[in-house]
Amino acid sequence: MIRLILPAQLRALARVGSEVELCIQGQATQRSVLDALEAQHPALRGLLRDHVSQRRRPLLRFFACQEDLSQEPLDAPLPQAVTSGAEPLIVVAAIAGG
Amino acid sequence: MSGVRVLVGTQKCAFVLTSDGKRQRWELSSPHFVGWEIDHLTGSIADPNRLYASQYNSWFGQLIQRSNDGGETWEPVGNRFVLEGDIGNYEGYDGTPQPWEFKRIWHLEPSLTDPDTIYAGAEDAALFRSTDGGQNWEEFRGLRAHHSARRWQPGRTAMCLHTILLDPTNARRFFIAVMAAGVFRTDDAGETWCPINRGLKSQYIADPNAEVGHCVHSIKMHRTRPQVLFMQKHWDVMRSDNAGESWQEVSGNLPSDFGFAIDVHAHEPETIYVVPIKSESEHFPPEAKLRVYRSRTGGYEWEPLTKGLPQNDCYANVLRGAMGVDSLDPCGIYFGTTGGEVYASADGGDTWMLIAQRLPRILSVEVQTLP
Repeated sequence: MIRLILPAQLRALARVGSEVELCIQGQATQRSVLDALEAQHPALRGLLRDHVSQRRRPLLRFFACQEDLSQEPLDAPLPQAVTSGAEPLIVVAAIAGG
Repeated sequence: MSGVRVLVGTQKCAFVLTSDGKRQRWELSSPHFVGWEIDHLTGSIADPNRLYASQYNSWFGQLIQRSNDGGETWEPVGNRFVLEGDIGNYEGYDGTPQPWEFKRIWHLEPSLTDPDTIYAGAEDAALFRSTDGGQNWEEFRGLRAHHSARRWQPGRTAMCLHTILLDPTNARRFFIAVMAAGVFRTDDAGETWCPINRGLKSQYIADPNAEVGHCVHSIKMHRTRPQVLFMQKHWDVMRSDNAGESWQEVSGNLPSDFGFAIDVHAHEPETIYVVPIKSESEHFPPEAKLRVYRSRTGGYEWEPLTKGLPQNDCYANVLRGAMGVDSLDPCGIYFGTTGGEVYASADGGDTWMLIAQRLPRILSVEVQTLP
């Protein structure tokens, strides 16, 4: 079970609480997590990654275990602490002042 | 008694204002879609309870929302806007070719007869249609394939398709406007397009009479006379009496013919409204007086409408999509400002009242007349 923490606006859109739990078949990667998230919550399709290129939206970043995973390949395995559910995968929307 | 619903899209959320047919007391909804830019919020003529919203922010991109109960509840529908085939290039700010890319939806135009059919105008300029209530979208590729498209340029803001007009008498004819290319018409339901900019003069481009390159801000028509089009261009108010084949300037005695919004009285096809803005560098009303100008002669002769509008220290703008009319008698006129105020007139513009204030910057105003 993967624990995923989404930005507040996406939580509101998907009508979910502070964490989303996702069952992943096979290797847990950024791609497979997003595939599972979009299957479970179709309202989020296209909002974390481009429909066609599958690239992460530039103002979003993915963190886990105090590491920035945003530049990791989409098909790279997620850390074991994430796949075991000990640590969440966190999607963070860029923050600016003003 | 009939009523009116005013749909307001803002930089931070959307609101719905409602009133009965007297239009004297207004109720403001709670904000919808908080934290999102609502470029356009509009309703179907075929089913007034069917609403659509274009919802965007720079973190998450584009969403389309649909309501089946007049805005009480909403559901996200499809947001897969994909440019198919040869992507092609347009001319970027620095003169280099820029590949077309979907960025956001500026304008939604529901079909006049089918609440499930809706058209969407995009940045970069492209036209899409859904026939299943917004779930799936398909591009009209013929527009982007037009031979002039490689010469289209972004204006200061974006290279976007911001206006869609459907001809009520001819289902195969639509008009669209692209910033900063001009107006285009299809007579074969979107397969092929022709630029219809003859008569437009734009001193800020190399050839002031060019086939494309004109910064058209808005076009409107009266539903009974779809061959007559009215335009607020960057500078100049224009009209066409032949479905865009040629245009003539009708700015007449306006204090400034720069502006964004234009609209047509619901029952008087020659009565039109604009909100003059000082200039392209000073986006506020001349003399800081908020004045709607009305022409009862289809242009040329204009009268200022000021009663109930601030006549000093007004530095707000009225954007291209932020004016609408109802179809009650007398006709109601509505507009929203970048200062977050919504004004309404229940007597064709003679007098105005403030019906909402302190909203975020208003991007669009649409008006529904309810049975």
